[in-house]
Amino acid sequence: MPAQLAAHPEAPLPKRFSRRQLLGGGLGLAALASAGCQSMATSTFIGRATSYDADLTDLLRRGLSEIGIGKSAVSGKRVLLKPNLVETSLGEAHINTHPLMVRAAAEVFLSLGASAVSVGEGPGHRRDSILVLDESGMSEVLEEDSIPFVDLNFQRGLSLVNTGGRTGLRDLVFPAALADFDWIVSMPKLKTHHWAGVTLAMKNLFGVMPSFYYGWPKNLLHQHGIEASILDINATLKPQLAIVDGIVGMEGDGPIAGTPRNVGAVILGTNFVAVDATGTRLMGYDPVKIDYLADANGWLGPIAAEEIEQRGETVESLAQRFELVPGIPMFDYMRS
Amino acid sequence: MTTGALNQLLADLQARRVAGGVAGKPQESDPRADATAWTLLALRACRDVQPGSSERSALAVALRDDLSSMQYVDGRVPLSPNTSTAYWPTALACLAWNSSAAHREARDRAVGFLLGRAAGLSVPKSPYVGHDSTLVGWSWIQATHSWVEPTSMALVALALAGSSDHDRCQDAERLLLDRQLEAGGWNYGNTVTFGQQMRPAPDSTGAALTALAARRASRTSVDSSLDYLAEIYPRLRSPLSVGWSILGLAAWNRRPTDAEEKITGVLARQAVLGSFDSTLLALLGVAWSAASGMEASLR
Repeated sequence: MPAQLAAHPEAPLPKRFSRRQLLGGGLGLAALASAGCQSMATSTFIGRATSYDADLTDLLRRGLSEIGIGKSAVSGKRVLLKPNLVETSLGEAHINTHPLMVRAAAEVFLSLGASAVSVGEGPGHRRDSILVLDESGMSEVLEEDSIPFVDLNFQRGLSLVNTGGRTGLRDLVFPAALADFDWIVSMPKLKTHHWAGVTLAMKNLFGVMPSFYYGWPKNLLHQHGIEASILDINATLKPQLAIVDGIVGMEGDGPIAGTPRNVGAVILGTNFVAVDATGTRLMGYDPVKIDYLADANGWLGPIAAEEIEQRGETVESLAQRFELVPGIPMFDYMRS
Repeated sequence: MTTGALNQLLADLQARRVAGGVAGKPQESDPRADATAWTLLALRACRDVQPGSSERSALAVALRDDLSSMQYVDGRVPLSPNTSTAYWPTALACLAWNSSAAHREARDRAVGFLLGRAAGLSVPKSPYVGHDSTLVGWSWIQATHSWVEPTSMALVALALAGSSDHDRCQDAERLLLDRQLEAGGWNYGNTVTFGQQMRPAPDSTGAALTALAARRASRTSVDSSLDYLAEIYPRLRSPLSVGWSILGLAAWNRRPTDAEEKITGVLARQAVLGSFDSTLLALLGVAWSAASGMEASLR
């Protein structure tokens, strides 16, 4: 129900962005365009972990194996982990992807032969990415483990033809630094979202879009519609893997002002639509009610439970009914 | 306190000179308008720092010309040549040209653009957001909403250019005061969403305080934000937040006594985090030298 987005302060308007071009440099477009290969394989793994003290590396290794990713797939790959770091959050660990989840992912990819692992983020609400790293506890992990950080907001742009076609933008500008990686791994938090309904692997990729070209908080994308932008970014970028941190999620007024909810789940998958549909079900809602998933269904992947090959724990064994704040149109629709 | 760290910072910025301007990072070869303008602001604020002031003066002359070559006919200065809609560096360029009589025409065209075509989008009020979205300031990107930082930078630039009395500046001051959070401070520009107060951010707060000082706003209108910034400052370690916090507080005669020591510590983090972006280095250079705030240091 996109009509509700008219209430957003940057409501959709029909306007085109720049021509397809490399913005200020000479990097090969083919490098990024060919890096992506969004999988239509629908195997989705759910792992159980009651806290961040659990053996997350073992869980991730098992999960990857269950969805068919082993040494042969990872060996030699340069991997960019893209956590969800939206806000400073001293003492509020439910807002951002937990640093220990990122540490575990880095460890697993390196152990499987990845040639390099970096962490990248371009926070939408915050220009000061280093402050977000500091206050989320991520700095400590990155420094201790010598994991490089790429601030995706402050990057030269690389323009690609928008293959999604939902926003009306002919091109999308990505950070040129993405071309330095073979795999983009979206690592969202399991959260509600007061505009989009949920924020999971697909919405998390808003954070790769450089605010240099889109503004803070990604103004141009909000203006062209959040759902439409989610679809265009995913269709164009074709990311490789999703790892959802649902050990502690956020219910209520997500993605920032909600409250923690212990779920104890980690979701892995290569098809982001299937992953997000599974995450939505873990929050107790029907993916059909999430507009971007309904639109993506059958195009970028499946949302019907019977079309998703579920590995590990069952959805039913971990699903909860997340609280939704009343008076928010999207949440009212999800409950209806 | 030694100025060794400041000299190194200036040397690092000088080393990022590339054909056509200043790059964002070492080893990059493409100039960026914002990096070039911020470097000029640092050179201006640190003009009396010895040794090397004469070399830096010569560099400043060349960089102002570089910045002129990035300017469009209508006065805007986009981030890079092919990104005409990302015109937010225009206010920075205006500031960078301000002290140069030879670049008065370029500055005036930038002022004309800021006061003319560069208007943030006025949006009908929404029951779901707290701020008055009909007020007009400046946006990051063409034809999008007005936000705190581009509005703040435009106000500082226009104050230094002598255009403070323009209606647009008065509207923008109203916008900034409207976007101030109830408990003090600013963020990127949302006060309340679906009934929830949003959180303040030190960098946005420092920028807004700098702009309102340039507007000679009343102290009582910003007291709560000064208190927020002074309270959070001791725990900050990141270049953007530390730089803008020092500038915001200094603009209201509350410069932290440990500013230089703090900046030295922040710069040392590059050993672990890697080289900071040129704009961050330059911001720290301005914060180091601007005892009474940004506007005073650039006059």
